[in-house]
Amino acid sequence: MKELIASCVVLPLLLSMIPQYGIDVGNDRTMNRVDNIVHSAKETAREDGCFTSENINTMTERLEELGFTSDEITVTVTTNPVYRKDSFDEKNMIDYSVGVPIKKIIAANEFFGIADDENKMIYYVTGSVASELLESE
Amino acid sequence: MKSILISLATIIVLLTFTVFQIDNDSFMREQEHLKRAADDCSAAASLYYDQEQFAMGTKVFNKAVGNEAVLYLIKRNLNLNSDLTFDSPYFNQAFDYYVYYFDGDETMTEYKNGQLVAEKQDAKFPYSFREELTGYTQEVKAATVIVTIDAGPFNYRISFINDPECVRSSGYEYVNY
Repeated sequence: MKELIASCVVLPLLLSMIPQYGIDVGNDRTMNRVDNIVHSAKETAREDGCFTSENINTMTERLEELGFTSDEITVTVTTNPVYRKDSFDEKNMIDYSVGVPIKKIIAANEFFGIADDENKMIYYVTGSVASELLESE
Repeated sequence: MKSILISLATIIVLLTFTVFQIDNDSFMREQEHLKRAADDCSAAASLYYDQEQFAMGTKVFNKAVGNEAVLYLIKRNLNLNSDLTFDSPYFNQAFDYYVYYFDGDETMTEYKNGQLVAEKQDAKFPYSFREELTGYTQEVKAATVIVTIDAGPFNYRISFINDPECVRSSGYEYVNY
């Protein structure tokens, strides 16, 4: 009886650790793959001078393969061509910001009193890249 | 009582593993972010060069403009503050960045945080370059820009782990075909 009571105290804590490993591994893998996908699209955009619709669609399709719906993915990128210049100007950069939801951070959030709304976040990949597109004369 | 103590010890060990796993994953991810930022910076800095010299057949990089582009991209792509610090418990010092320009006129110029550190006039190609911070070596055969970003020690929350240095390097080379 004594051991049963002791088990009831510690078992939930122990059990909450096990799925936490899985969620951490899954979230890290997702974030790494999102980084790779956006990085790959960014390299294409560097040559095109902007994010073309084809590039955005390819990037979105690859992100959807990770389990996200198109509504969940936020894409804010430069779509008008930016040309390579001899002088640096912040306005002549190709900007990108891609966000995907991380739906669960703590495995046993209810046990620790964390609401579901607090247990999620949006992972953003943001940055700029210089265009290599030459302006045709 | 014994079972509670053993279970609590197990929970502490499992917590330690979990915290280490999260910190280690974050460290690997930050390394990749640094690498990509260094890629973008070296590519951007290599876009700006002296047009007249280029018309004569020599690529000489415009260091002032290149450094401006590098600083902007480091701040933007790594979400740094204006003083190059990062709002994260993992880093508690400002980032340093080094830019190495290997011009076509066999000049090597080194900048640290936008300030000129060294200039070498007789850097003939192929030039054996060794980056002191990372130990990275490369045979530089053509006009190249190499950017190194040093974020400093990565603060693991587990106290008995030695904090590793988070530093990555990347270069952009123009090869004549």
